Amino acid sequence: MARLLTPDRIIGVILLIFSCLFTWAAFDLEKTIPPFFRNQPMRLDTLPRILGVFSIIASVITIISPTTGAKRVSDNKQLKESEDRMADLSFETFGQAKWGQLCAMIALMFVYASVLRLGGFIPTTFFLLLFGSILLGERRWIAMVIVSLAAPLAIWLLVTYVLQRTIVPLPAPLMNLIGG
Amino acid sequence: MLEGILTGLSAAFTFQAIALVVLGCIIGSFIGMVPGLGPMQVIAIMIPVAVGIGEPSIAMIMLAGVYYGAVFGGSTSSILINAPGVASTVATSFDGYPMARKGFAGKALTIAAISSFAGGTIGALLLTAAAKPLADVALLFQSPEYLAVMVLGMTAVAAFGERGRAYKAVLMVIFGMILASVGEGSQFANRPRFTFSYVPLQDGISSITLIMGLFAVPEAFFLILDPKRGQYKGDGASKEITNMRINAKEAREMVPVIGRQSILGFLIGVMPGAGATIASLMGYAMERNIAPKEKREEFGKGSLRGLTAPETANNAASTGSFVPMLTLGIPGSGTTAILLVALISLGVQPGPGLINDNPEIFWGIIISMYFGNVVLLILNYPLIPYIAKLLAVPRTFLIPFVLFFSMVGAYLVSQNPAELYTMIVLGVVTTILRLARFPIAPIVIGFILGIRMEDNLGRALTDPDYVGFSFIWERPMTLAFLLIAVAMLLYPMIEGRLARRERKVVADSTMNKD
Repeated sequence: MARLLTPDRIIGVILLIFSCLFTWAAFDLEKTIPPFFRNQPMRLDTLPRILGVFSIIASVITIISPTTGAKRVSDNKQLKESEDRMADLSFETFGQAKWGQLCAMIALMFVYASVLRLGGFIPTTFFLLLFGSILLGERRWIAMVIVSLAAPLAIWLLVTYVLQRTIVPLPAPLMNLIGG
Repeated sequence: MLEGILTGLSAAFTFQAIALVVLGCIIGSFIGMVPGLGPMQVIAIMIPVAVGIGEPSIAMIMLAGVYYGAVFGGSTSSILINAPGVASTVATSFDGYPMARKGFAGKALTIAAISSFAGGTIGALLLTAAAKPLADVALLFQSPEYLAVMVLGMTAVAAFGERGRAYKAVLMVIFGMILASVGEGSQFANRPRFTFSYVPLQDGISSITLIMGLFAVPEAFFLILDPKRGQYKGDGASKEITNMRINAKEAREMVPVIGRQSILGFLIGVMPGAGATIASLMGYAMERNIAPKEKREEFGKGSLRGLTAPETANNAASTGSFVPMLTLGIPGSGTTAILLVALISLGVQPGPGLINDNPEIFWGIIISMYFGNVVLLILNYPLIPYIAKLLAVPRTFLIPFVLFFSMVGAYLVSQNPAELYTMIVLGVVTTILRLARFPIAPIVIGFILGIRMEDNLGRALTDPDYVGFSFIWERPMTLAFLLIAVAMLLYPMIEGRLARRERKVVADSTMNKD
């Protein structure tokens, strides 16, 4: 059972489900094509249909392919060491990872995306950097506050005056108050 | 060609271009030195700045500077702290780090700087000679040939997959093409696909958001998940940078290695899917194999040849990977795919027409390579001890900054938070794919080629000279490219199967003996 549930196969099954849904959606696109366009050699569903079929085939190959002996095996000791050193975490070393920190950071990013317009670029970014450092374990408060304040200010100046793009720096009510 | 070189010189030798290539090299060296952040991540972060510059030739020259800087920065962290920022500098650490530990960190950095300069410059010379004739041949192509060459480029990325697992890379290419099909295609204006009535998807997924989600965000996620990732593993002594000189005997030993590895690296770089990592590892292995016995024993213990070879080869290969990008508009590596995204974001259509339509970009990039290499040598070289201090930045500050730069980059696309949501979701999906060791670069290659492939397929299918797909067998060049593509796709799969069978036979015979 353990041999059956390899990371490749788990991802393969997920991508197969995705591919089936995509293929169904691709074939369903025909409904949106006006009748006088349906006889065209190139329609908006031509490539998606081809992609859908190929993605199903590739997903199935991923699922049914043998799991043993496929990993790159270097005969050279140094190359092998380097492969180990550069290797990402994997499903095998799942338990050792800081999953709590990652989930908290993703939540923080979603909150940042949600309040960025409302709260203005500088204050929201200040809190993103500050809370980001705190949840990763940083406790040098003065350094954190200085860095978290200086970075959004510098980037806002760069974006506004060098790149000539508009990015609202402060919360809307405050901007109205100062006439921005 | 002379006219082109003059065009490139006039584009690259303006005050603005010089200032930006210098800035690009410095930024690239700084960020590229941070473990985990390689050229792909650095260029991804810098794309919004490039788009902000607006002038394509200047913006591309700056990004090219960032690229060379990041490659050089990666070598520095390999030598000083045994933490290769990217796979292409792994081989540099084999002998660079032992040399630094022996107390010759300065010398190791000098060898790396000179080798990088020589490899990059010889690569640029070869590119100058090869680009124009190749682009001229490519101009003879029509839509069916473009389509076939794109299919060929996509199948070549099978090399990104693990040995015997090319199908994973192929699956990722298709996944990238599926992402490219979201929204309104250029041929189907006002008829968006796969948007599920979500308005922000109407224009499709922004290539900048995609790049951030595929490269910068997952790298930060991995730094969170694995606190030991890319951390300093040495003893502290290697960070001391004192004598940076090399003597005449050492220089004489380096010259033939540089000559061999520049050519080898360039040729490997030209092949789509190969790139700097393979070039550096092959270069290292080749020099070890041909070295005299006493020199061979030095490999792994601080060999001069062992450091010169990968540094020369990876820089020459980085330059070589520009050949398919500039002449055919086909990315040969993940990094050139991201550079193509930048080019498209700047409103330039890459492909064989680039040399005639935008000669200042085509030749400007090539000239900036010479210039970037010189800048790296004379500017970064004395700055190395100061740049190295960046290695001390704690992850508690580094990670929020990487995420912040990614989010600003994606937000600037349309100032719509939806871009950020898309980026975060892509980051999470990519992290899961990387955990299962699926290659990521093919996604971006599929994304870029997917859009352009649909245009060419459309033109080929509507060509009145052919009925449906008959252009495949009626145009010999198209057929030839497609057959090569099929062969390239099948070769790694068959090779993997044969390797498995061979190992099984060996295992069976061992068991029988027992």
